[in-house]
Amino acid sequence: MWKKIKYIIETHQLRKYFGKNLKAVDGINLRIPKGTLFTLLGPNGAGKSTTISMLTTILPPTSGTAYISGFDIRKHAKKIRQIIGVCPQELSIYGNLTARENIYLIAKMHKMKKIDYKERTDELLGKMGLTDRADDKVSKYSFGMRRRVNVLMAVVHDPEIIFFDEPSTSLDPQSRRVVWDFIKEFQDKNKTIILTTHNMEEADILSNYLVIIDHGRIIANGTADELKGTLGRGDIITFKINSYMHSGDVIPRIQGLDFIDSVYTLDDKTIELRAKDGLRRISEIMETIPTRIYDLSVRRNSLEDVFLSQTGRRLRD
Amino acid sequence: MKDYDQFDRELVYYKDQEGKFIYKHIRHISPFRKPRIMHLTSNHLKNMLRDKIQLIFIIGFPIIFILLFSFQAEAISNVKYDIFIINNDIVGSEDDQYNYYNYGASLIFIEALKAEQFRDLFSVTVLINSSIEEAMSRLNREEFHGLLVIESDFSEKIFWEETNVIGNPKVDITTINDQLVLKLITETTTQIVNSISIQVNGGESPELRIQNEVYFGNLTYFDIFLPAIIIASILMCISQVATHFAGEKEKGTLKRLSTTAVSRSEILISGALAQFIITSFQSTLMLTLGMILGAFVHPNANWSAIYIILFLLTFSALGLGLLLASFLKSYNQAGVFVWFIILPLQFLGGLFTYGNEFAYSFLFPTFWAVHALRMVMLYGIDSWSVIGFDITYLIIFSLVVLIMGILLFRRKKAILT
Ligand SMILES: Nc1ncnc2c1ncn2[C@@H]1O[C@H](COP(=O)(O)OP(=O)(O)OP(=O)(O)O)[C@@H](O)[C@H]1O
Ligand SMILES: [Mg+2]
Repeated sequence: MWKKIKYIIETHQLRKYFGKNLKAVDGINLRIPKGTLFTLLGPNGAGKSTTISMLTTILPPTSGTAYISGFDIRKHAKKIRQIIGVCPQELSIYGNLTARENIYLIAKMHKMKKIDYKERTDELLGKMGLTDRADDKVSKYSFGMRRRVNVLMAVVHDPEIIFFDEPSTSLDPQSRRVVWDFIKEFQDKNKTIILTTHNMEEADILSNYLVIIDHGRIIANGTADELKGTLGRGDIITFKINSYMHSGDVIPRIQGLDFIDSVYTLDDKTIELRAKDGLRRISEIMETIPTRIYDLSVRRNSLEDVFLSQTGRRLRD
Repeated sequence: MKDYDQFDRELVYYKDQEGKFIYKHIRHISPFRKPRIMHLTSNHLKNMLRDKIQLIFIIGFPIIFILLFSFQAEAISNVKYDIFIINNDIVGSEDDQYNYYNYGASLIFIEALKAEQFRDLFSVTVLINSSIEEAMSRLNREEFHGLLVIESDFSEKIFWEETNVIGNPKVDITTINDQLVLKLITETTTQIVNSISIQVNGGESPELRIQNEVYFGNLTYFDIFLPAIIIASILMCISQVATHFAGEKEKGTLKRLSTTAVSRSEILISGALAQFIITSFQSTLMLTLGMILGAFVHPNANWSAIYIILFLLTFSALGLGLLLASFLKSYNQAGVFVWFIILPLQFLGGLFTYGNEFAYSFLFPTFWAVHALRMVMLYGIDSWSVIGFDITYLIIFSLVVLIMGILLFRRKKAILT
């Protein structure tokens, strides 16, 4: 049986309601070509995990459906499970088994050959820096180490499609890098990866394409650059002004500069502006302000700003 | 990283010339590979047995339970039943030609009841000048255990009636409200009456003996309750199954397994199988330890029958555990809720109230299991006529709860919430 498919994941008006009023996922349409690292970015409770649960066949949708590699999640769950790997958001590991045994277990569930999964597991443990502790009970591991085991269990059987639900949450920056590098490797091998996160940096660095979801709906989509581009290019400069000054007096002066895209206040004394080449020409901006400024910062447009502009809220409060 | 496309899997991917993604359906997974259920089961066992607290519970609980009961090794033989007799039988004198042959049938009966074999068991008092009403009211006050009223034509029927009197004792039996006492006195009475009538009709009298099916003169509390203790500990399996699955739900491992190629039935069976192995081990441990500590097991006891009964009850417990697990969400919930099932099965099922079961005890599978187990272990009886109903009840009960448990647990909702 041969079958051609254009998108490895397709969803049609995917919905999941809990009870009558809680619309956890509210009509999501996705089309994901093979080999994409696709990110669902959204705040807590946005419906990311619920979407993943439906795509990984453990939660039936309220309405709508999705096709994974051409298989309908409502009808062909068994086939789908053979080709996916899932790293759940919560640590889903057996505490009294070792890291190695936990990983072997998943390999055995996929009927891998012993020589294959042994070699593969060693390799994976090495990549995550767990080789030395591989034969200790997982219950003796630190939180970060458990997270890494949780990630490894998703990929031991070399699945075509991998779901990572917030794989790097509450890891220190160093471990986070390790996980990111690990995920990137699968991207390089043309695997399809679905990642959820509320870390905009992670989404920015890893994604080929991303959607921002809030209250179960997609509120923006595109590549990270496209999304940031919708807010205008350039640098974002933020500073506080002396308490004697009024922001109303400062803003018109800055607006007078031709390279400024926009100026607005974040609160009474905090002013933020966007400018092409803002960093290089920062002295020109400073000259227009007739008072002392504090807490000056310059940064690039981030996905956080995209979310902020779409919802008026920050990703993490 | 190395590519692992050579894995045996049921779907294999290719790209066509346009770079479009194509898959092909193939099946070359060896059917001889160790089934997933075995892998899962051994992982469950490892996960359980490596937990020191659980290990202590699994091994320690049966040992302590048996040890405590083994101190109850005093014999129950000093339980003696008081039987009062009102003899209305018309007994003739030697001068009376007609009644001569009647002489003594009831007296022979009373003598037999007082004979050596029954001395440890019955103390017999013949009431003189007492009305039946009077005796009955004393019985109601439980001043004695059983009242036998020998009817006026007792001797006559035994000596003169051509008809077969076997099974027709002509003795009215009333006892305190205790099925065991009733059975014991009835069977002994029947036996003696039959023996006398066979003798009178020229037959060889059978030897009078205590009906060992009901007599526990030489058994101790420990002997009697060993089957009950084993059954009570099998019931703990309900808690084990429910907490196992509820715990897996809580940890998310159940969800994780559900996203792999393993089927829900395999997950279910392996979890139950692991518990089955543990419970069988516990039962065997308790039986062995009980025997080492001196519990009596009849030399003719049929060990296959013992294990069939134990396994059937274990299946029932597994089914009940699955039923609970299908709606319990967390380890703690399960730990509390299981007692609503276990305690009634233990106590209302009459495990520890030998001979004084409640009127509705027969509804509980434990009632039948303990009866069957005692018959086999204590009396060496395994005939279908005695334990057939017990076994049938257990089979039906375990099938019903297992099927219901599996169906409910297989629902998608049961795994996530
Ligand atoms: N089993 C459930 N029963 C009822 N409500 C649920 C259930 N699972 C999720 N929800 C609700 O659905 C909404 C979306 O939850 P979901 O877990 O998908 O969010 P999320 O985007 O993954 O958030 P987070 O970043 O916190 O993981 C939430 O309001 C949550 O309370
Ligand atoms: Mg989530």
